[in-house]
Amino acid sequence: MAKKVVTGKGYLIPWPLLRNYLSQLGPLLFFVAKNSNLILENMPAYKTRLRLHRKPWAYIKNESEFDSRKILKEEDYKDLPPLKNEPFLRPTRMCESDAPEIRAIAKKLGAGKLSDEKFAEAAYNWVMHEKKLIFKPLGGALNTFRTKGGTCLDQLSLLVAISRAGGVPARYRLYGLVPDQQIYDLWLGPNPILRETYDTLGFLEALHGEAELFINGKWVAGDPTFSPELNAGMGLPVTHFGEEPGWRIRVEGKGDIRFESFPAGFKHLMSGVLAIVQKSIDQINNTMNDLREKGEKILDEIGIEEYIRKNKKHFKPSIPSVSEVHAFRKKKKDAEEPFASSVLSEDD
Amino acid sequence: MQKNGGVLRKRLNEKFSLPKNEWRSVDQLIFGAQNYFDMPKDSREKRNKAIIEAFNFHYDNNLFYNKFCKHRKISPQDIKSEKDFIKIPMIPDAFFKDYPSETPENIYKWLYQVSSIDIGDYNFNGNNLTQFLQWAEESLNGLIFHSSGTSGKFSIVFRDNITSTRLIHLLLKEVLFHITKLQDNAHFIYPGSTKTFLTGGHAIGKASELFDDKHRHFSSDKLLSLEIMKLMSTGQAKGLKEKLELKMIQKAMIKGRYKMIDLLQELEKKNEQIAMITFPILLWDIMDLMENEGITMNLGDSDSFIISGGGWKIHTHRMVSEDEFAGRIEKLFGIPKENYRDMYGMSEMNGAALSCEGRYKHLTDWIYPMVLDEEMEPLGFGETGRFAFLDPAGYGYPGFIITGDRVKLLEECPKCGKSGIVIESEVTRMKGAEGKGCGNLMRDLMAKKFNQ
Repeated sequence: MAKKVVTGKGYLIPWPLLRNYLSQLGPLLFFVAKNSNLILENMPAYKTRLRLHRKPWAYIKNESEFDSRKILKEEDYKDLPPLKNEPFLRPTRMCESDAPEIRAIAKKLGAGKLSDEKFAEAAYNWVMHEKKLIFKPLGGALNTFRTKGGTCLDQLSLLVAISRAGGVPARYRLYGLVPDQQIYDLWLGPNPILRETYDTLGFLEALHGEAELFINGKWVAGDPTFSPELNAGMGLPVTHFGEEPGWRIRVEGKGDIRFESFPAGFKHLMSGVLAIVQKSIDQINNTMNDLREKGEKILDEIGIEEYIRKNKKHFKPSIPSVSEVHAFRKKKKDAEEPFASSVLSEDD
Repeated sequence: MQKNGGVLRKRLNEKFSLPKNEWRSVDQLIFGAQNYFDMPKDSREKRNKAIIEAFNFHYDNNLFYNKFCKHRKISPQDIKSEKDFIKIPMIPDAFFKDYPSETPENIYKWLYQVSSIDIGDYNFNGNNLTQFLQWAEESLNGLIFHSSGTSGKFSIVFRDNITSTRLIHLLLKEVLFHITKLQDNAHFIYPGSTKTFLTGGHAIGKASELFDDKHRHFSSDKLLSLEIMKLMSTGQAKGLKEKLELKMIQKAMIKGRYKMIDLLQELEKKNEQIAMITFPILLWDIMDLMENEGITMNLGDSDSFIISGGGWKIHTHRMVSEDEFAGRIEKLFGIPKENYRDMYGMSEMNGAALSCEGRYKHLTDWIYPMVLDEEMEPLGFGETGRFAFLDPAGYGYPGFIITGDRVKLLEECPKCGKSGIVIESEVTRMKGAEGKGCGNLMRDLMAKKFNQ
């Protein structure tokens, strides 16, 4: 369980988050040193970027066709939802909920017209369907909106930003996780630096998370990282808002942190790592593109509804709360022992 | 003194059995059957009745499972006969590690939320998870097992008194009374430590209570705490104390191999029967040592027998076949090949599959097994896929489970006429499923890197 929610605009990096990163830094540096020869393998990737006058860790594919501003019309920018300067509703680092296009998409998705629940579902579905998982330097919500997508954290930022722009409070949660074998093989297996670092740590800490949206008095989590076609390409179920993704096991504990804003400097934390394993990152991005293509074919063939229906067999219902279970058992007991129940109610 | 195991069978029925007037349909099969290899003809009908009973019970008493069924639009009205069984909602085995965090209170709350029975109040005051598991077992009068935690998180399976009595009874009956004639003065041997909550060792420890202290032997009495298991499975040493503790356990385990060899030689001289249950890796290691030191025995004269279970990956890149293993046992221990068998089981299953002389694993009759394709649709006999099962012996939790194991099922054994659907050849893991196995963890514990 996350112990504390860090509010504020993120001028300082919260200690739990810093500690999580520091705990991973040692093993990472050790395996970078151990496998330093691998860095040379990145040379062709660096040269390509140099030729293009880009940073060594930059993502260099042209993403202009994926700029979501294209779907917005002039009227979408009119009568935008009001800005609010309250915690979990205000813009924060990497979460530009005050940007006109973010407010416009929130309006287009039903902010102010739909119930909070329906609007949250619409925002989640839009990010999940429209934005793709790409390993590249963190860009934040606006950058993700204007490009093909970004890392999981970028997608969370976009969902949080749209939610806030639409008047539904939203925050981040990062946690430790263990990927399933398929993801391990895809993301970590091919690169000895990543693989050995992970194998030493036993899990990934604070590198992935979910957006939490405040709906009907409760924080409901959504993780739009895997688009339907990526899920289909990997044979994973498509998850709805509020459901746990099937590609990882959550390892809760000290790595678990909830906060309002990404801290200053966070954006650049991962750039160095990306540069060290740039060749692998390019390969992973290519493989994910292939998987998305494969998934698209699957969804074209059977339709997303049928795919979801078939994969619903993997669905795990949420665990009822202790009080729900208690009430369920009491009701059952009362039904079995009507006399005892009536005696109790007289006492009451 | 009786020589035919009559005393031990009687003790089994006294110590690990439920009163006959409390038997449900599944108990007639577990406690009522004399020999699981020779079940009455109507056992499949009894199994079907038991599964329907179990489904109705969990639907009515387990809110989590009730919601799960409602989500699938399945209710007891839909499950009337065997042809409906495929509709019964099954839980992925990964569910058993879905507890929110590894704190005693959260694990207990989670158990409360997902159990089919009321597990009572939480009043634990101890310090660590191992103490918590001890407390929980005592207060619940049951057994708690955890997996090897190869993913960094342990599966935790809680068995109430009814379920654990069924489990221990069936394991003992299967292991002791299906291979050769058990003698009343037989020695029960496990080359490991039973002071653990790790599934294999813990179940063996409980089962060994059938024997008196003079007739049960373990290679080590070191506590393999959950904290140490976590250290083993994730490599995350928390401090000097844990590192030292781990080193001491490893040393004790290594020393235990010599202790085992001495014990076996002593029993060989006395010509007393040995019933050894082991992970293949533990015995393989002992056999390596014997071969290096030129030690051989003749335990066949006392009609001794060996049962293994828990995975065949002896070395990281090498699988050893059951037959190869049997051959090595015959060569070094003088135990005939037919007196060595392997058993397949799962942490979540209250049933087992013991191999016959033809090396086919016969599932106990109350388990309804299925093989599923990638879309979780059932495949027929003879096809390879994901193993799933309906286990009506689970009382505290619904035993309707989808596993990560890859198997091929045959309706009957091609080599013998014994009862039971059989699992053919080696069991492997499905793509995407995490590695599993107490055996694997034990392999790591004994691995050379730790000897250094």
